[in-house]
Amino acid sequence: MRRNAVKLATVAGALMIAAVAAVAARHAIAAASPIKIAIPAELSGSGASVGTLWRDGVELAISDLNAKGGILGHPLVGTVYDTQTNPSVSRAVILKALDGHPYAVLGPVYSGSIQVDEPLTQKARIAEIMGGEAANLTTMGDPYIFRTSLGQAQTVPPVVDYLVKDLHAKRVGMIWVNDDYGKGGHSIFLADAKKAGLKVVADISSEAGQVSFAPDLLKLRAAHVDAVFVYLHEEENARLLKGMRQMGLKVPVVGGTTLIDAQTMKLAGSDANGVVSFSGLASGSPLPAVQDFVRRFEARFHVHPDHNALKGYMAVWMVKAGTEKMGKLDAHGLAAALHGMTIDPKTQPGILLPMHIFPNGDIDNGGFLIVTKNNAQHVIRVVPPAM
Amino acid sequence: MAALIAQLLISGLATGAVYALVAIGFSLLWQGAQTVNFAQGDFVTLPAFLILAGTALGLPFWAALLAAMVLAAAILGLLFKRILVDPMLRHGAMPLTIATMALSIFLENAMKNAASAEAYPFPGLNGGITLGPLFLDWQSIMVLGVAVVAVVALTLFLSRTRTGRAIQATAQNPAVARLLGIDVGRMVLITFLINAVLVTIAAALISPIYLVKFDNGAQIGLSAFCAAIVGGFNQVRGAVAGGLLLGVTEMFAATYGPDQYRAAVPMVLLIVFILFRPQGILGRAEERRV
Repeated sequence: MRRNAVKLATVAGALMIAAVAAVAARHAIAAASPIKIAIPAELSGSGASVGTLWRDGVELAISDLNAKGGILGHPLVGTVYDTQTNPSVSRAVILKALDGHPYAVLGPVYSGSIQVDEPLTQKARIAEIMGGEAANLTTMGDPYIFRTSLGQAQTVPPVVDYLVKDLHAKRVGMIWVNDDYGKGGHSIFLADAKKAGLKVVADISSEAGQVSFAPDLLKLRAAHVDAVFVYLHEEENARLLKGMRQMGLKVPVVGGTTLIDAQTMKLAGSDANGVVSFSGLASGSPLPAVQDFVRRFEARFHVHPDHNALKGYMAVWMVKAGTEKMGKLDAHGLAAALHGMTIDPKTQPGILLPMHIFPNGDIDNGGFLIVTKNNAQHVIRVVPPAM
Repeated sequence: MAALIAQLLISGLATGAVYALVAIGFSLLWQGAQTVNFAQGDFVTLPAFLILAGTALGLPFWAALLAAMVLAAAILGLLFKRILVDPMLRHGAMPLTIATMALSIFLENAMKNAASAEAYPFPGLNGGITLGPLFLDWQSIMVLGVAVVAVVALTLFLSRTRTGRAIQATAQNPAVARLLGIDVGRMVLITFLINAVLVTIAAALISPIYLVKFDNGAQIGLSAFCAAIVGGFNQVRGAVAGGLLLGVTEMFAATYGPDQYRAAVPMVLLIVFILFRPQGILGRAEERRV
């Protein structure tokens, strides 16, 4: 009887201590100075769907980390800024964000915006972990810029390889968006296609937000191509694919990462069946960590995430990995800590895939050659990271 | 070459037919309320969302289209006139025109808040028929067909019915129309309702190509505005001619001109007409004493 009472008292005591410790820990986190994260994103304008998913990915990661005690005991606080998909507005909001002394800047996604605000974060010596994929973003010697996905120089060659080896294409057309993202993809594709012996017989540029592709498709039809390489943003991809179906234009479609993402598939529906691209991140990846992310993202935001949401999510975890490597909060030291780092998902589960960060801010996490079918991504080939 | 030109003509006419429907609205509202409705593009976007909402609620497409037409008539016709046009018009045309700019911003943000910034797919027709070297897609054929029927029906209504003639009389001279016993207020309201029906038809025709997004209205509105001026702002027939000319010009310019400047085509056409034929293709030259 007495022994039972002692046991009961011990258990009750332990529970009380645990409860007090939990409350104390929560208070400690709340009391610790917050880590201010600036989130510039395209929340309106032509890139609104992209930027919104990026922001949601960042916010999900912030919630996840805060639920686990933040970073080194400090909670994260995100402040969202709308770049309006406009480079000059982006520059203005980055100035405003830097005025608030953020620990890191996560975003934006559009390469044109990043190009103009990159010098500002560099001058402030604050890491800018962004969603842009244009090749030139990491070639300007800025030690504070970081990608969250593969750049164009890494994603275009596997697609060219697929055109040559799998489709046996000889004459190809290219439709690309005339902004920094599209220009980068265009020049890399032309160079790679030339090396691979492909003849680009239709080279068609379009505008961001373009609503009708009828003339472009008529040009493409007249060029008698074996396949078309598409390098557009999500909505334009969908409009193009729908236009192809409406015009009965049946040629294989390959292209940039955006061609296979959730937003393109949702908008194009069955018209997106059979398109092929290469991506370092794919919400259709069978990896359990990615699928868990997709489930939780859908539960919270009621939309299907695409690679932009994944990029935003991983950006926050990159901040965590770099900070924990330093063992202290050092906004100006974060960039240096991230350079050359290899992040293992076992220690940083939100990174989802093993990631190596190169000195110029590029990353390598391998990738997938993907075909879309029935609103889902199917992996044709897995390319492991080169690290 | 001939096949490509024929194909461009068909696609251009299909695009232009939609511009024409929206441009007619500009012309009607100009005649009915002496205002340029800068929210006209957003007037096309709203019914597209209403149709999608109807289908999401389980209505078949045709029922959703009819429901959207009724709602558009109520919101973009009746409410627009009663809440914005009537109180503002007594202060002159310019304040009302500026108020429509504010309405455009309001509508865009309201649609964005209600439906998010994402684009939405819209049902359309796929495939088509091959006639020799020509491929005629069903979507373009349907757009042209529906637009032609709508324009012909409107023209017949305006010219062959008592109400239509009363609307024309009101547009030409409201004071004289009133003296003749025409209920001018009612005629103006009918003009607004016709515009609401036309933009709903335009929404159903253009959305399979454009997708449905809160900010689509800016591009459609600008093109239709240019089409209305090019055709002749004070003539419904002119709006049709302007729309078709703009659609075809855009298509040829995008195919044979530099890709980078295609977005400027409506404005270039507008400037050319303002410089050399300010009354438009079919418009009447108007004089005002100041």
